[in-house]
Amino acid sequence: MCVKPVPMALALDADSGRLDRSGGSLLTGVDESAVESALRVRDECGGEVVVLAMVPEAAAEALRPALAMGADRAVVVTGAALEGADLLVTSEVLAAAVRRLEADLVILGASSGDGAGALLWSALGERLGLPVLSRAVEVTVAGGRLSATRQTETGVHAAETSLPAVLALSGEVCLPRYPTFRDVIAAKKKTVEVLTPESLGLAGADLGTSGSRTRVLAAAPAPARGPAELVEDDGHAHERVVDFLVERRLV
Amino acid sequence: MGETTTGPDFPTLFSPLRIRGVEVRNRVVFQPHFNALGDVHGMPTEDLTAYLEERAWGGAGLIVDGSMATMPEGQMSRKYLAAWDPRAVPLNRRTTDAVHAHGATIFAQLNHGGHTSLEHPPPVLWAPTQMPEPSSPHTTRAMDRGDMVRAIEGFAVSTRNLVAAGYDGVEIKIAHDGLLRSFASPFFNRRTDAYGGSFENRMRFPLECVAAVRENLPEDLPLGIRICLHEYTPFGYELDYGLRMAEHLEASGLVDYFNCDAGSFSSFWMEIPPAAVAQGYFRPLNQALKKQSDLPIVAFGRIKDGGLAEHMLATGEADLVGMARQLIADPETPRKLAEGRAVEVRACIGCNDGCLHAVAQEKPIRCVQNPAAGQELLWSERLLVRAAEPRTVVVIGGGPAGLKVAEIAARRGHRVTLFERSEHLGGQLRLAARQPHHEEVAEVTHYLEAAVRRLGVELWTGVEATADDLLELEPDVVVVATGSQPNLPPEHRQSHTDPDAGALARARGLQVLPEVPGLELGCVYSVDEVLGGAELPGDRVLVVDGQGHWEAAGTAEFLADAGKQVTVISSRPVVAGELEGTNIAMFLQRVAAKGIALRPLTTLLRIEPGRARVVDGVTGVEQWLDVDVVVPVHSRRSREDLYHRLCDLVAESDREVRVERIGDASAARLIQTVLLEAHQVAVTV
Ligand SMILES: Cc1cc2nc3c(=O)[nH]c(=O)nc-3n(C[C@H](O)[C@H](O)[C@H](O)COP(=O)(O)OP(=O)(O)OC[C@H]3O[C@@H](n4cnc5c(N)ncnc54)[C@H](O)[C@@H]3O)c2cc1C
Ligand SMILES: Cc1cc2nc3c(=O)[nH]c(=O)nc-3n(C[C@H](O)[C@H](O)[C@H](O)COP(=O)(O)O)c2cc1C
Ligand code: SF4
Repeated sequence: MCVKPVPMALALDADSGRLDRSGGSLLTGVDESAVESALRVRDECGGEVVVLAMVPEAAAEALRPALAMGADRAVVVTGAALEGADLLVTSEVLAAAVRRLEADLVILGASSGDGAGALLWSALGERLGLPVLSRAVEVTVAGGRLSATRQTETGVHAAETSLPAVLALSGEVCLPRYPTFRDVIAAKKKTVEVLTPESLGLAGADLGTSGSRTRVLAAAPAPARGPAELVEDDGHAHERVVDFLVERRLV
Repeated sequence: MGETTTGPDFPTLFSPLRIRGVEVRNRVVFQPHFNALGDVHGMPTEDLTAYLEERAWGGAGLIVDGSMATMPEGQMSRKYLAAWDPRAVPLNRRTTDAVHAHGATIFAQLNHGGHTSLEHPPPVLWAPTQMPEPSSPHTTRAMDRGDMVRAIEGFAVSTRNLVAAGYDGVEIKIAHDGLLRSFASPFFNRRTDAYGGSFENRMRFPLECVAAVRENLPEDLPLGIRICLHEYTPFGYELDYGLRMAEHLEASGLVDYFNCDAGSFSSFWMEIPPAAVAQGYFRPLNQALKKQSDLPIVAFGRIKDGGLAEHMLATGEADLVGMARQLIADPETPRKLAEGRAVEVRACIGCNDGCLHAVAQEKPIRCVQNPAAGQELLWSERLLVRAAEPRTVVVIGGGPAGLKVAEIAARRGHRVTLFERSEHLGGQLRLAARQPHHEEVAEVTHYLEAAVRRLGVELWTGVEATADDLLELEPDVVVVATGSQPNLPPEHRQSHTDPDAGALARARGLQVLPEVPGLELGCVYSVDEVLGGAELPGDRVLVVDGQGHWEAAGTAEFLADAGKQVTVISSRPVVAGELEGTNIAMFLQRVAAKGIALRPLTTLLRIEPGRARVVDGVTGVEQWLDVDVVVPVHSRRSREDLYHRLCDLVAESDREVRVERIGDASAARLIQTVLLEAHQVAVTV
């Protein structure tokens, strides 16, 4: 039985610090390695790589490097209604988008900078009713099945599942390829497709902050980094440094 | 305008301090320095006013203008400000008004040049005892009492002029050059009259000058001493004596603060220490003076980091921190620190190439890091205007040139995309920084890289641009900043990793290859290969210095540090002769320690496997040198083919695209003019 895989990399991150500007290098290494994994699956098995992200429209440009690397399309789900969305809302919106795209394989980076990503893949699998393989360090797709080597606290596992499925990678598992100049030019000409919650049939649904079950109680910018404490070496500087690290439970 | 805010991260640095009757808004002092921005009559120019005004705007608490000369004999350069001359008063008033308008305080430093001068030939040099300053061939005139009276009068008249011009205080130089230190010095002062012999006698004349200044200063205005605490010469005095001088001056009750200093003309690399002298190296001197004195102490010497400055103040090492070159490189340093923008500070790299090198030749001050230094009226970043129409700017190359043009164009609101074919930004400076004692040069591109990222420039690293497809990006402006490569024959191994980017230019007669037979051989290694970590076949290395600056000198040192047996030849009279003076002095000290052999006036004729033929420039005698590796460092060739192809394509198309080439892609040279050129192009886009 052979399914034509349509792998999909989710370059997920609503962390505005990283995604609020257009720029070639704003995907993290984790995202880029997810894109690379998706491209490798496509290069082996055929199909199409679609990069999907739920971000403010202004951040759509951040997907451009993924297009330059060779992703076929980029789609962002965006809209004022999504502001303040938590994990539950995000997974609902993304699940709707994945259904619309009829993806056979959904690939996510292990976690995104905002912390929600470390769970997003499971929420997404749940909503889509698909099997989930997480913490993957090596991936093979063949004969309509996904096999992966998983890295966990207890060791390395081999696991396998049928497609469609959700795959979450364990960090930067492979080196992303560099695009050529031609690839970049081609990528810059492509349009990033924009979907709204309405177009995904989520009109009127409780989204954004109001639909979120997580409440942000307080948020403050991290204090600017002050001047470092300088330790003059009087022969005991190493002890002070060790004490400092121990006090803060950094070792 | 006006006050800068108190920085929460630097509470001590941004706390005010009272010196006698004058309150200084924070602890950052723009140290005095001859900047050659006076005219040939010693009158301050508008450039000088703008130079100091820029630092006041940038948030410095105290600016010390000068040095200024107290009389015509003793004016170390004709461009040294003529404090004695009443015609300078209204012009200096222009400066003090401009500085005060930003809330900063301004003092002036007075100096009599004594046995030291920058003029060639120098005028008659005054000294306590007739003898040349050891670093100079020019001897001196031993002063008589009449000379002394005139010199004291010079300090008095100058002080009255400074007060009339609106200065808030006067600093007297008993420091690394000039007359007053030579009187205090047991080496230079061998007099047997009332002005020599004993310590008290040697200090007598400096104190008479100090008293003359105090008498002419209004009650509330402070008087400071710039004091050389350590001469760092085999024959001179050391810290203990410097401290004794300070103690004696303080005991006179005439002094309100000390500004620390060190070195002399015979150890001028310690006056204005280059990067080879560690940051904060002089802290023990500052600390020692602070410990014994009840007066406010200005710390000095390679202080460029806000964190270090705060630490020094907070731990009581000093009361103010002096920054000369850090504020030359980034006038806005205090403002950025105060506003929580410490990451935006552009660091001085301690090169001395733009500042000291220029003024030592009596040319207006410049700065490698800051293209506007000394020419604020033309290129200050405060003059940048947002572009009326944002345009699409494509920059090829992420070295200093490309990054600078991207930074300034983006600040002006243009849409900028930059392509760099290597995985990292920085260009040649990534190699340069691997040379010993040269790491700080990388801060040029560290600053620019952070700036372009902050400004949202679209960066593509690991992507090599080609002329063919470029116009598809629909640029309004393309800036070609593809840099330069070692000029080796295309058959040389280098072409495998760094393809020949000058073939088209050579075909058009725009470039030539060097005419030394054997440059294509496997035993020939380029600087880029060596610093890039190539494994060399053998230990005997010949470095050919056809460049004179760090490229050859630092590579020779890099090789010596790697255990190679290095000989450096140069056709010119001095190996590494293009290095700035403090750098070459310290380079030569290390050459001796590292056993590098230097052969000036020696030219490379041909290379064969295992040996190189050279000729002596004086005798014409030829000789084979047995060597395993030859590293030829002659002028690099521009990677300019892309530029020519692109110009052809634009001419063939019907598009309106402006194509510029900048940096080494137009002519290989040093960073200073590369960055200025990039700035100049970016302001016209
Ligand atoms: C060892 C060494 C030491 C030096 N020390 C000093 C010093 O102390 N002081 C000083 O003032 N100067 C020094 N220089 C010179 C200084 O490095 C140059 O002035 C400066 O790097 C020139 O900048 P640039 O941006 O024009 O070129 P480069 O620094 O050469 O940068 C050009 C960039 O363009 C990229 N590029 C080329 N072709 C393409 C393409 N087709 N597409 C995309 N990218 C491309 C290259 O990869 C490179 O990163 C030194 C040079 C060397 C080699
Ligand atoms: C170009 C130049 C000229 C200088 N001229 C003077 C001078 O006239 N009087 C003086 O007291 N110090 C002079 N200095 C020394 C500086 O005041 C300062 O002590 C020195 O540069 C080290 O401090 P920094 O590391 O903060 O630059 C000069 C420095 C430079 C760079
Ligand atoms: S020229 Fe070099 S040493 Fe002088 S201020 Fe500029 S960066 Fe610093």
